[in-house]
Amino acid sequence: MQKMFMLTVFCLLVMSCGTMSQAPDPTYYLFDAEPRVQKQKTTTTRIKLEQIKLADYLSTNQLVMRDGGQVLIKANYHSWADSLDDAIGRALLSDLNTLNENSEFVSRCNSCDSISVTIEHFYPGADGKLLLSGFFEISSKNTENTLSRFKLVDDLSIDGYANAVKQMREQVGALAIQINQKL
Amino acid sequence: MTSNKNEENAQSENAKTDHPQSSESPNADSPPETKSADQLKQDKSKQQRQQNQAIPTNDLDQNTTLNNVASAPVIANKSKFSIIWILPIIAVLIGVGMVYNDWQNRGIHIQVEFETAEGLEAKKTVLKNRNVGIGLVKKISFSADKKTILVDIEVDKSMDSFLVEDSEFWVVKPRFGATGFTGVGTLLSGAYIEVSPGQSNSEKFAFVGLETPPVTSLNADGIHLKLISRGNKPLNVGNPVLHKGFEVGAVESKYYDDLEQEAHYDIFIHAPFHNLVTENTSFWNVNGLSITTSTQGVSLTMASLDALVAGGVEFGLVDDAVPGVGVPQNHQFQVYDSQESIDEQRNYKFIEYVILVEDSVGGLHKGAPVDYRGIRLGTVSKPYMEFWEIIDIAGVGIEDRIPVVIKLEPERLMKNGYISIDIFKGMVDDWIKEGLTASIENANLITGNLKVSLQPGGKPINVVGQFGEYPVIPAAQGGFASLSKKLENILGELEKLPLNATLANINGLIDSADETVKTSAKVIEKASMTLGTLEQSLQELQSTLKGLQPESHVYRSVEQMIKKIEIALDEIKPIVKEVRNQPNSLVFGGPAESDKQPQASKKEGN
Repeated sequence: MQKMFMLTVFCLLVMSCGTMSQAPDPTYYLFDAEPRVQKQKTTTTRIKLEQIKLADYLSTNQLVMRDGGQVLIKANYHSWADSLDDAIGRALLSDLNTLNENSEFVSRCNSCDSISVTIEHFYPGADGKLLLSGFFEISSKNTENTLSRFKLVDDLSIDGYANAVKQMREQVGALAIQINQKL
Repeated sequence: MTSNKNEENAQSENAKTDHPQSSESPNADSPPETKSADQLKQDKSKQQRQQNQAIPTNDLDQNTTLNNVASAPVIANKSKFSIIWILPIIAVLIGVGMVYNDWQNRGIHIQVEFETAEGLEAKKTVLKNRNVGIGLVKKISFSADKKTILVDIEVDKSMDSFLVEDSEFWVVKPRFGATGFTGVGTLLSGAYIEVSPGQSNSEKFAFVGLETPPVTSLNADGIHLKLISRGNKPLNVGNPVLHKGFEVGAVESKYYDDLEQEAHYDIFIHAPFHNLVTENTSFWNVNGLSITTSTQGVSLTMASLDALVAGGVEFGLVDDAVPGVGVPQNHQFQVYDSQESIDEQRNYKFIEYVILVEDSVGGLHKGAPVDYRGIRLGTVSKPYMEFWEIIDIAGVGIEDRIPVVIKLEPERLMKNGYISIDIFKGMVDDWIKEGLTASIENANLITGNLKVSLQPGGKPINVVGQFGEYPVIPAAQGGFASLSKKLENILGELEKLPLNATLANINGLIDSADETVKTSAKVIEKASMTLGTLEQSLQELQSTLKGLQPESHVYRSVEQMIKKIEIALDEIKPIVKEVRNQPNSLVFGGPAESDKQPQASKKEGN
């Protein structure tokens, strides 16, 4: 009798496990999925791009979106394949080197002019808007430092994080254009 | 008509008389002589005079005259003075006038005697006063004894006022002296004789010239003074006389009195500075550098550059002395070697005392100071009496003390006052009776010089003692003697100490100290090794810390690891969240909700 009871419980457990729902697979996104080959520059003017500073809520590998009002949602199954600040830095270096022929933008340099970029807001919204805002500062030895604020808002063309990431990369390209104009 | 004929005859006769050499009248057949207008006028006037003489006053006279004329010829006296002598006479008169003029303008001849005629030339060298020529050298000759040169000078007559008894003559030529180069202008123009007019009223025509130019003019306003120096800093003629650094005069002459062994100087001080010289004025030598050491430190005194090179003498009032009354011309002053030595070298009125010293007088010299409780009151006159003098006073072998003769100079205490020596002697005698004593003390620890120190507080006495002619100041043991005594006491105490036992203890102490030192050396060696190890550890720590710097590989690895951990934690977060909300989801699973994703913008119609 007792053996029969134990067998019954075991069967129920196995059956309950069989009814558990399948969790979605996590998705990883590459921010700079399309790297460019940089031309060899002959200029001696070098400009250092400092480490990109992100707001704390962006310093995570989870993608975030604004769900109306002040609500921010972190995705559970959509993550960045690389740390976002490094990825944005690489993207900016690539864009700036493409845009500016007279200077070489590098991540490490001693006693060079430098650009520091701070990103305060960078997320898609439930309302179909993509927001990138913050400020960048150009430090030069010969001239005074210039601080410029930027705010880029785009409409999301397609639903989903995949498209949002693609458009976020394009927004960083637009930011590179703004920085290049200030140089 | 008759009268006319007579007149014509007379005229013809006169003509014959006047001109005997001409045998015929001018109306004769001989050719007429050529006559000047003056001669013609003279002839006319003669004829007129003769006509006037020949005209009778009446008819009777006319007849008489005619008869005389007809009977006797008219004889006229021939002039003895020939006109030809006029020219020689004029020439003689001119000559006499010239001689007189020469005699009238002839200068005054004087004779000046010089030792040498260097630079002088007869008929070239001029006599000048302030660059105005007033005479010329006519002749240069030797004196009768051939020892001097006699220069004959002709002085302009109008310049006779220069030729008085005290006029001075000297040759101006290039010279180099105490005041530098003088007479440079005569290098091209040649030497000349300068005369300085005197103030006397009596004339003089023979002078003895100066071999060197006088420093000051006779007419200069000021005061002439005489200085006597017993020091060994000589002055030279031309050296400046200074007052507070300003040159106000000069040394005019000097000579050395070999009998008195002192140098005599004549100086001149220009007006109005001569008013600064009064009876209390002091003169001192300012040549060279003066370095003095005293209790106030080392002081360096240097005169002006001119005085430093050439020397000089300065005067002034020292030690706040009152000026006093002025002094007459040629007043005599003493020159001191320096301003600091005035007090030392001044001639003070003094009284002499003797101190009979039992201690040594080695280091006590003549001129050493005598202090009264630190105040200079006198000078040591004799640090010791001569042997025979002591015997004369005290007898043979009786006096074994050393008599030190001192001079007490009360004027040192009163620069502007006066005290009679007798009164002062009475005061000192009273002090001696009240207990004034003298001792030999150290004046300079480095040089070992001694001084005599007077101080009250000794034993009162009834009568002041006498040693020969000198009154005696009782001697007290001086600082040096008392110091010697103290040293003797200390040495005596040292002798009493158990030195052998102490030395044994010290040896034991040295041995133990030696061991301690050896132990200490080992400890120090170990400590140095420990320090070496510690240093090595620090270096390793430094390299380790260097490896942990942001640029290091380790730091980057750690950073990457932390990032990976963060990512892992982010991945775990949903699970943790689900377990927290629904713990049984671990067994039974939870509702697997997919993430909410952003939506496309509605504007684009998606």
